[in-house]
Amino acid sequence: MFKLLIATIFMVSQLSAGQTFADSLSNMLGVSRIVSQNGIEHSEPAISAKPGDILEYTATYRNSGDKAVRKLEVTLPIPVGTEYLAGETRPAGAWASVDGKTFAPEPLRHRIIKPDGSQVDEAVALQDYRFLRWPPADLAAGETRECRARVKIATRVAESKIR
Amino acid sequence: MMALATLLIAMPEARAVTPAGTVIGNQATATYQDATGTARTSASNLVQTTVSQVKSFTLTANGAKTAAPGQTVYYPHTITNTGNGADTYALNAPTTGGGFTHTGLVYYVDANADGIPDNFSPITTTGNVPAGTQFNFVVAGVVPAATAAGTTGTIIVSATDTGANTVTNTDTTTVANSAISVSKSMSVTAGPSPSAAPITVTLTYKNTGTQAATNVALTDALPTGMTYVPGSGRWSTSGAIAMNDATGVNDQPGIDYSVTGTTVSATIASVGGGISGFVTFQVNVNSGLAPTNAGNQALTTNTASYVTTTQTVSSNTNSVTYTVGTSASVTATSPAAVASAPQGGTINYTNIITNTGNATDSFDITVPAPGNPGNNFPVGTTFTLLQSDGVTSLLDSNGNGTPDTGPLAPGASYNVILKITLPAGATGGPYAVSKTATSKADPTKTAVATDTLTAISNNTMDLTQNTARTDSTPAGTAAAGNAATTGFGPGTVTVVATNAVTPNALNPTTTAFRLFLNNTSAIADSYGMSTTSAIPTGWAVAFFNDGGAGTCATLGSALSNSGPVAAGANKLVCAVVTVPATSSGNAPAGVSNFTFLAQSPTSPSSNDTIVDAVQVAAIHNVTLTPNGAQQTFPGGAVTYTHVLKNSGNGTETVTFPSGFLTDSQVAAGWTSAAYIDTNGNGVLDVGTDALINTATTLPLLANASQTLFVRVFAPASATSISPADVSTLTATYNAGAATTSATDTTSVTNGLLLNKTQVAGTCAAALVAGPYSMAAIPAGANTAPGKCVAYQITATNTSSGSITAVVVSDTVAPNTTLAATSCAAPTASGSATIGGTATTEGSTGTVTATAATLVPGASFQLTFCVKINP
Repeated sequence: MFKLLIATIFMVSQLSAGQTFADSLSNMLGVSRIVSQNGIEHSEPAISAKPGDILEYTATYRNSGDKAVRKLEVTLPIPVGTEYLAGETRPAGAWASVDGKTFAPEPLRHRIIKPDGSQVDEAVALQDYRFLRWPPADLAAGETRECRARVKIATRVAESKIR
Repeated sequence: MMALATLLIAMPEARAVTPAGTVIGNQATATYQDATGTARTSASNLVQTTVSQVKSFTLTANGAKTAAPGQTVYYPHTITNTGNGADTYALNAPTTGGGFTHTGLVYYVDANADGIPDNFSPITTTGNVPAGTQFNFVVAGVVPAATAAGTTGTIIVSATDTGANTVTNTDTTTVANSAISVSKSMSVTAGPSPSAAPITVTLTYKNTGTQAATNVALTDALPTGMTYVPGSGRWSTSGAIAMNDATGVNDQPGIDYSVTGTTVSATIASVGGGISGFVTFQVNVNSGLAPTNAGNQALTTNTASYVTTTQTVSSNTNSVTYTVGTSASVTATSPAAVASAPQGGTINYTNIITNTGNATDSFDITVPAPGNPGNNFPVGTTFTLLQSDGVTSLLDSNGNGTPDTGPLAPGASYNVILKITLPAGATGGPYAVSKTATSKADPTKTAVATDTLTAISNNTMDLTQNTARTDSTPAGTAAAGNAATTGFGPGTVTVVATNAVTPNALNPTTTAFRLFLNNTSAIADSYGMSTTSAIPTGWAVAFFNDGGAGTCATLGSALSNSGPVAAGANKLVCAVVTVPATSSGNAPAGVSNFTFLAQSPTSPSSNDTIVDAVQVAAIHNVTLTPNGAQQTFPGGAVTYTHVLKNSGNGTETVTFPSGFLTDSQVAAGWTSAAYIDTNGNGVLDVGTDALINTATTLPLLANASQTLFVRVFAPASATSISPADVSTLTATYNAGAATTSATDTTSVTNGLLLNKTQVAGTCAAALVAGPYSMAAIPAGANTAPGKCVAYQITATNTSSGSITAVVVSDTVAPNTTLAATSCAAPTASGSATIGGTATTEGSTGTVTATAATLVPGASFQLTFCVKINP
């Protein structure tokens, strides 16, 4: 009991120290399965999905503080096992990356060294896109920002050509 | 657009469907700056989608054989589960058709895929077949004995998965009197890549007919994962004699053996009825092959084919696969030790995890908790595993609940970033944490990388006076060269700034010091403000935000903690000292030092002090009050009471200069003397109370007072028409630099001496009982509105003859009214009678007492009471 008490006090003091820098930005990620029936799209829960199904990720940011949040830069990974669907990103203008470090506008290109030593530039396969990042923007107090992207569950697990 | 400079190696691709049960997790992150400009990171919740099963399979292959009447034929078939989950396949009863009807149709297991039943127990189902694997079986059928040569019959092989998908193959048997069947085997069917030793491939042929078969041509096109061993061809007829790989007539009689490219060919001139034999050669399995799976098994699967003079349609032998095994292996490379990090700071360690196995694998990353083996970081340190972008959380991609690298191809690397956030109060070092990367395919294969922090650098801050440090944001002018006036650097006992204060007699006075809190650490911090030196009685110290001008001329809200100060930035705090009024006695002239402390509540070693001083100016203020006025009779004497009060903030020595007591009518014989109320009883006791002379010194503490008396003697020759005598008592203080004086005006009456006395108190009849005094009544509770003052005027005949028609008249003073009821009605003593215009409670005007005759030495008194207006 004594130990427990100590632990509790420690936690409380940690909390109060942290409150000085309270985070007023909420960050929620949702996923839904996009089903198209007779040309009409609708969303269904994405607890489970089959290879070939389309998932839509929606990251929602809300500034519940009383001061603007500056230079909000959203990064959304494209999970392994899924393939990025180009042209379905909202808002448009997100940059993409294969390694999470170097981002560039779509379509990504990279340089391939062939077995004979020659080099060619090729478009990066969509299956190798691993991150999206939207350009930084300020988020005024009380405002909300949504970033969406769609992916397809891979019908095959590709071994990346990128190593 | 050449957006990425990544250099890549082109690799053959191998693919398999996403396994059912795979959990696809995702977590968004964002970076931003908060109100203080501090960069922050926000991670979302984790969302997960589980991949469900899709069923799919293939059945191969259609077969064609030649068989003699009465012979049993075996056709090899393979089910490949191309779905993303395990499944079970029903083997539907074979059907037969065509020119003759096969009998005894049944399925047998052929696990080793040699085209011959492993046993003769019929089967109707495959049992469980994991995703991506194969199930090998044969269908057996008997050609009836009487069937004519040249007739063809078919067998339909059918398999159905649990999703009701059915696939069929058709096997065609041609009846001939010469019937060659060829089966294939390898000496080793599983092992590493490359193979440990050459593997012998055996092609066994048999003529099950009654007539000889001619030009039996065996062809084996090697798969790309195998390489022929030159000179390894042998024939059962010629034993150990090597056959010539080159084309042409260069082999033993009866066989033509050659190797062209990767195709091995052997044509045997004649195989008699019932005769069997074999051809062997050797292959090596190539290096660098991925583990065999449904997607790549063709690399190491070998199928031969054969034709004869009479069997012109090419028939395939069974397939034999060399299964390349999986070998898991991993290395983990840690970055160089970090020399130092601030308290509460964060460090990102980039660890390179490399798949050194031969198969795609994922690697679980585990970090022991602080205090456990492999992690001696201080308790309270938080550890976060991040993906290579340094922002996104490392997720669990293989469904075992532990974050991992995700699938890595053989030879590929992944940068796992360990983000360490130190607790604010931690100190010391070195610290090290060992992360373990564990192969998902083979959990016994692990690699450890250790991230090291040599020392935690203590956070620091600097408190400066009037200006911020030159290296702070926004920059000020405090630097090492002006430390004496700015307090730059660690705190000292030396006073940095002194504020002069002239205290007020009645109200407190404040003075503000401008203190700059310079955060010289690498992370944001906040600071508690306090005063560590003793605060003089009656004084106060408080801390405030600046009012906006940056000068502390106006103040913002009070504070005890500065609030967040970003790394390298500073904040102005106003330290306000309140000096009490001199009337409190707590504001003596002099210098008081104050030590101000700013200290981080989370990193207490981050603190600084500064010493400032308040210099209280000396206030010299001694008063002698009040002035007096009395009457006496010729040859009489009167006593005046004065109060000498020190209203300054230091002890004054009061002296009396030559001529300190003068009489304006000294020429007419008036004299006077001054006394100190030595015994403090408020009444002049000649002989006890000390006579004042020029040698008298009277120390008077701040806020203290001393009663003095002046006794004035009238000459006997004075008359009522003589000029009044004005006595002036003068005292000097502030070392003789200042004086104060009081005057007493004394006149002589013509025989009737009036002496007015007073007493103040609560309105009641008892008030008029006195005691009365000629002294002034000090302001206080008894002089508040609603209180009463009783006056008693004594009229005494000091002449030698009787006085007649004596009228003593007094006025109800302004701001008062007669208190005839609430206190007492006016009274007159002796034979005197009361009159006048003020007679009732609350009235104003005059109160009179009239006596018809007053004999020498006789007296009477008029007493009345007034109430102070509310």
